[in-house]
Amino acid sequence: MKSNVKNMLRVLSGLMLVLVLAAGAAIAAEPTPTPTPTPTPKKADAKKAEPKAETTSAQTGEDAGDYTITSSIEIGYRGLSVDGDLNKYKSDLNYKAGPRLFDSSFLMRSKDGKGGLFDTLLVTSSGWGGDPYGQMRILAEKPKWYRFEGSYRRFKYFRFLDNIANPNFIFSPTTFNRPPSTVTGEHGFDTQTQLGDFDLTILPKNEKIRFTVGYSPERYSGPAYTTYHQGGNEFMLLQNLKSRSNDFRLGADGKVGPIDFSFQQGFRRFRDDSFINLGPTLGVNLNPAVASFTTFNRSEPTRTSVNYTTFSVHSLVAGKLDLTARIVHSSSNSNFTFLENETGTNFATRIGSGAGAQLGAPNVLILGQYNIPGNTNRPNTLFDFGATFLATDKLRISNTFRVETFEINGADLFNDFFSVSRGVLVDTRSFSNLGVSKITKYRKYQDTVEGDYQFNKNYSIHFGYRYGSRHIEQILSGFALNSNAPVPLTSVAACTSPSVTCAKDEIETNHTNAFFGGFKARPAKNWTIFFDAEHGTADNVFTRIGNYNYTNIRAKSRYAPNRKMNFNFAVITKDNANPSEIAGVSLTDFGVNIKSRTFTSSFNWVPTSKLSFNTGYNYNWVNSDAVVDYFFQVPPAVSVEHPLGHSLYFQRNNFFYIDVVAQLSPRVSLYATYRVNQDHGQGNRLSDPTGTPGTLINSYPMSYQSPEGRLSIKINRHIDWNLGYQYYDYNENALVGPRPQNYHAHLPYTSLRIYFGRRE
Amino acid sequence: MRLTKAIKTLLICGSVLSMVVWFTAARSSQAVSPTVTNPNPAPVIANADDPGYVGSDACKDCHEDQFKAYSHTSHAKLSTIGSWKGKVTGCESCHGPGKNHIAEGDPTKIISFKNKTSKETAETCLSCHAGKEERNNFRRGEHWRNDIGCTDCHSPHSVTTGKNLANSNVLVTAANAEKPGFSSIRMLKANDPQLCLGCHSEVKPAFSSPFHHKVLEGAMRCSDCHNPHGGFELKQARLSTGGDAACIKCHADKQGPFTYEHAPVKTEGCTACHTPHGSANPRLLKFAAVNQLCLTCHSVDHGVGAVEPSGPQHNQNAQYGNCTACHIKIHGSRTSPVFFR
Repeated sequence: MKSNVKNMLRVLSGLMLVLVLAAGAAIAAEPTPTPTPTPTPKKADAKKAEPKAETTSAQTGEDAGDYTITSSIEIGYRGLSVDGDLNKYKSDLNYKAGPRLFDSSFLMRSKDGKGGLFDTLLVTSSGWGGDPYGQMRILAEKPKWYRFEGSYRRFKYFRFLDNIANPNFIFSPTTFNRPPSTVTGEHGFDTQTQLGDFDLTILPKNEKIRFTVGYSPERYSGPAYTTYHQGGNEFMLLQNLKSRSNDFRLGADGKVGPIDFSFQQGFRRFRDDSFINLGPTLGVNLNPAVASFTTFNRSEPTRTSVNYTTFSVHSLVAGKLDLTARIVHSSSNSNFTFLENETGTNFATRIGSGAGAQLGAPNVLILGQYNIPGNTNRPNTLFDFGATFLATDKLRISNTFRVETFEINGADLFNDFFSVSRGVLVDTRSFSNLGVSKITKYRKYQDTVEGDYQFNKNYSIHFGYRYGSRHIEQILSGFALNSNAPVPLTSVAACTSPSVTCAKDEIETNHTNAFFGGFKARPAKNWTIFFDAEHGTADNVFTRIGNYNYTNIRAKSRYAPNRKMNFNFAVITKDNANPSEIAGVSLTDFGVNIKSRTFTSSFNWVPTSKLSFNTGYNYNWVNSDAVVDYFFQVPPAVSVEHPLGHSLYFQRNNFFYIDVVAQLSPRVSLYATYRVNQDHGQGNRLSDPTGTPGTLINSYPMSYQSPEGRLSIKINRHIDWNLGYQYYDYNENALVGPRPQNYHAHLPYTSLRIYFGRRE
Repeated sequence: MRLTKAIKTLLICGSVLSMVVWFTAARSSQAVSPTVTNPNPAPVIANADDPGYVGSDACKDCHEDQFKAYSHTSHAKLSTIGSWKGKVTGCESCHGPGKNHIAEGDPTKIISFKNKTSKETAETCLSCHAGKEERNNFRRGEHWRNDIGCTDCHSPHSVTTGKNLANSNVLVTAANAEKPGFSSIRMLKANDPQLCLGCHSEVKPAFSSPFHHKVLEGAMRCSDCHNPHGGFELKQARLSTGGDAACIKCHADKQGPFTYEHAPVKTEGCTACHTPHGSANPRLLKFAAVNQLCLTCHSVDHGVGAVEPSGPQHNQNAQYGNCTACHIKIHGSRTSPVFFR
């Protein structure tokens, strides 16, 4: 298969070369364009051409020499009062009380398009001063020479919730001396991400060539809890997350003869220096007879480099044939060393039980150590070719072809050391330099043929067919590390039944066929209907939630009786039945069926320039039914059942919103909004895991509503005084958990918006 | 093997055919020039010394409002840029030569877009704007397919600004139109995301869920993840750092490569498990409980998909049967084949 892919790439590379050479030939064949001088306008025309100071919306602004400035900044103070679950409030919203820079914008434009350093400078920002997310964007340009766009964003994440990793929530074996816990889950975190994108384009309006340089940094840090199953107990470990990436890119795009080209070379460098360093740490199970740490530290310094190249060409030939080709190649390489040292007591050590096992509890773990260096690389190539033939003014036919391949080559070197003592006995087990390699190979071919026909301005249709073929292969080799004396993995051929000691050599293929089509119709001047549908089938899936036999339908209607009013309705249905067929044999008893129905509507009305309404209602309905087998134990019963059953998920979400904007008087305007999500989830259905068949039922019945009101009072041309109030109300149904994480938050605020260059 | 051969043959024949058409057409294309009678008014990068062209100022007398608004757009400033000198810029670059229209006052003597289809109008725009990769696939994109053209989102004549009215403190709303923003620079009819949500209202509930990407709050834009001008990816999603999913741009720690990758992450994509716009689930998972999501694939060990969990340690007697309490590194691990660390 590898050689096939190589051959394919050779052919494609050859094709690219031919295209480039052909482009060169085409350029050579073309007459060199002679610049034509701009005709000198006649005197009268020249007079007309003189710029005249006009006051338009675009020209609004304070005079500042060669520029006009339009700017506003809103600063104020937000109050906060939260009743109920503060952790849930902070996880959802995390607005805090205090002074704020709510929002700002600054636009500086040259009057005649001949500014000095720039013709346009725009800076906007929002959410600074303690809000959980803030952003600042900048654009500066002098179109003849450069265009610079930058953004900086900061997100604060806080998650301490019952429903993130909380096995203790109910799971409480009798051997635990800790009662069922309703406290927050074990994977809480309080982290921060900072992201930036800075792109400079040289000669942005040049038709022939434009150069681009870009830089995107990303920083992620903060404390977070993780869990670790070790020594016969589960540990909640506080880790310090710290990772960063820097993405540099440069490129050029332009036009050579009839061909538009675009090239970009990028370099991303990622490093992860997260670590855990803890003193005495008890496990989740507080029983003193089970394992606890006296020290624990772990680090996994990782350095990843991704070098990527994108090259694309495009041409419209005689206004009839639109050709686009793109090749993307990336090469990722990751180097790391996993280091973990731990000491403790009463360890059920990692290897063995019964005869030959290491000394069990009560014992002292003198030192447990993992030292695992490794390297993984992933070459990834993506080639796309699209051709659209504009056969007539009304008929277009397109073909889009894709090849994608990647290969993940991972290799680790395992060095394990565990030394325990019990009284005077010391038992040390170790091994070193045992390699394990895992290779994943993937390739995909996809071809889409489609057409669209425009009957007239009011009616058009489109139709198409897509074929896809995918192949994945996983190969595991090296040592089986599940014993005190690791041995090489048994070859796949020699494995009589699946086992952890078997080398894994899994191959899956998947072929899909899909038909799609739709239309746009305007049965009346003010009424437009969109419809499209897709039906596809597959002979296999890589995952049981993948598309196997699916039908998606979407219909949208927009009716605008006049320019002040419009009604929108849409219905979207998706059905996917997956009988988990293998080699043509249907295993219908093990199927997965997922259905969703969405209804959406909205009504927008602007009766006057002083009043506007926007309102809408959505309904989302989801039913998912997957046949599963699972393990189930009801304490205090000791036996664990292993029934077949159904995993069912339900969503019945109603969403309603209304926004009203009213100018109550020349100086006073009002904004009011109300939004509510109400999901009835599974209704009165309850899980029956021990039934016949058993059912695991889940959903998220809750309501989440947020009204907001704001009064804006114009003090003078430069200042508005704002008074606002937001309210958030979150309520969970008891089905979600024994301790609903409900909260009510009141967020009053007052602010001043200061304007420069405001329109009267 | 057969498939590979067939594709090779198809490619070679296709490329030869393309070359023939290309060269033939390239020669004939040199004769193409815009005329009023051309039902499809693109492309219109004509020579300014054509006597039919009279310049934008001539349009001002009758179309004063449009001229005022238009004269402050980047379209109007093209004539100051070297590479555009000598070419028709201004009103006539889209509406065609105006001499006859002015002389006779006949509205049929100028190209009007009132009765053009979205695609025809788009062709005019593409005659200048097709040169960037961002728009290379417009003619194969979802918007094209559904007959949504450039002027459904962009206003080529002017930057529209609204009145100063009260607006939300945390939501990007239509009411704050006077504040200059990027929508005015890009000549959009409304701001992103308001513009997108006007048609794609089905995603509104997700963005108002307890957990969502902060699009309505203005910290992200629809166009950060989607390319509205079309693309080779499904849902017109963007790619990041080469061939990776758009999500990887910000979620860099999920990029890998990992020695032990959770295969669906790369083969099926992030949306196999996540609902990217928003959800009541704090991890934006498709289902409320993580164990349901995992069991949907990791069940009934018959070779398709994934290995079935075994043993009492996988007891599902938990409200939030938390697979990820142990399988921490679910996107991929560098040292654990079962994603423990």
